[in-house]
Amino acid sequence: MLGLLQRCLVRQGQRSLHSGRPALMAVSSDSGVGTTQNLSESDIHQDIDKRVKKSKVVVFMKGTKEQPQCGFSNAVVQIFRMHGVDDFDTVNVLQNEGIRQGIKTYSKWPTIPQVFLDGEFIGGCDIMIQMHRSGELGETLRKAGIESQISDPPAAKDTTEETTPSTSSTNVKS
Amino acid sequence: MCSLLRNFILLTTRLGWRSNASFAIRGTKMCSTADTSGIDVQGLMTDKLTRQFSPAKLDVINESYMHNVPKGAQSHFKVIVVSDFFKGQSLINRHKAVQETIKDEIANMIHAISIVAKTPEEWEKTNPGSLKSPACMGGMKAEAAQKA
Repeated sequence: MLGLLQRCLVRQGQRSLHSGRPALMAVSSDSGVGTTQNLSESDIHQDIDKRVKKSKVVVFMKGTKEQPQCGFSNAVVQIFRMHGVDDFDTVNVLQNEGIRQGIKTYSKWPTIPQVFLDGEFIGGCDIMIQMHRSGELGETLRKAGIESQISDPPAAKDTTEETTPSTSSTNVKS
Repeated sequence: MCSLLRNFILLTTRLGWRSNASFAIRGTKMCSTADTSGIDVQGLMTDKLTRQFSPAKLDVINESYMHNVPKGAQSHFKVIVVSDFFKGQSLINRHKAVQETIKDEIANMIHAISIVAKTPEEWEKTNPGSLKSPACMGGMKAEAAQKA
């Protein structure tokens, strides 16, 4: 019986690998408002659609504005702060596995963070950094009616700080 | 039977049953990265990007050491692709072209990717210091703790 189960599990794993797109999973240990359980992909996309249209700027990220839990998400928050934009919505994908996977198919973008302006996907961390450096971000924000405190393209300066690389080797799969 | 199996997978992964189930973890994407030991992820991505973009410059850099992951991990990568292919293309389309080329690796093998996609002319004017990746915030460890 165990052998049969293992074979089925392997097959299930292969299907997911071949599709290149993981099956949407509802995880009951998710907590907080907006937990998606047993929702179809289109239900989740509808939910995401509402969220991206709720505010001018919406960031899907790991962690919160106050406590980002990923360097890439943190970089996006810091860029908006530099522009004096504090009033933006965030969705913590670590609190909602359905959204975490669904946002990737919604925007056809495989990574997080993801930034939406006026309901339109404008990019992830790399693009935000590049737009910030070229001055395009300030311009884009102004076009959307959001005042940016940075008027000119910033000088060639890094948007991120260097820190000592972590030496911990904790097994994250625990 | 299918739903029974699905529940079984959910249950075992939720309970942290790991001893004999690395394939289940990979299949269900409960964890962000699969076990890629024995796979040369860097080489795979290098080959695919070379074939697709005939790049003037290509760097596939394993930045996993900068993150909270085991030694030798292949979880965090930066790819720098300099190619005429990107001429006249928006940032989003450039990144999507790169993502599409290595979509299997992104979906199934690695946790994070940073992409730099420039034309040779743009690359001439690029200050390498500007390409530094964001500092780690301990994300993978935090995620694991949250899921435990």
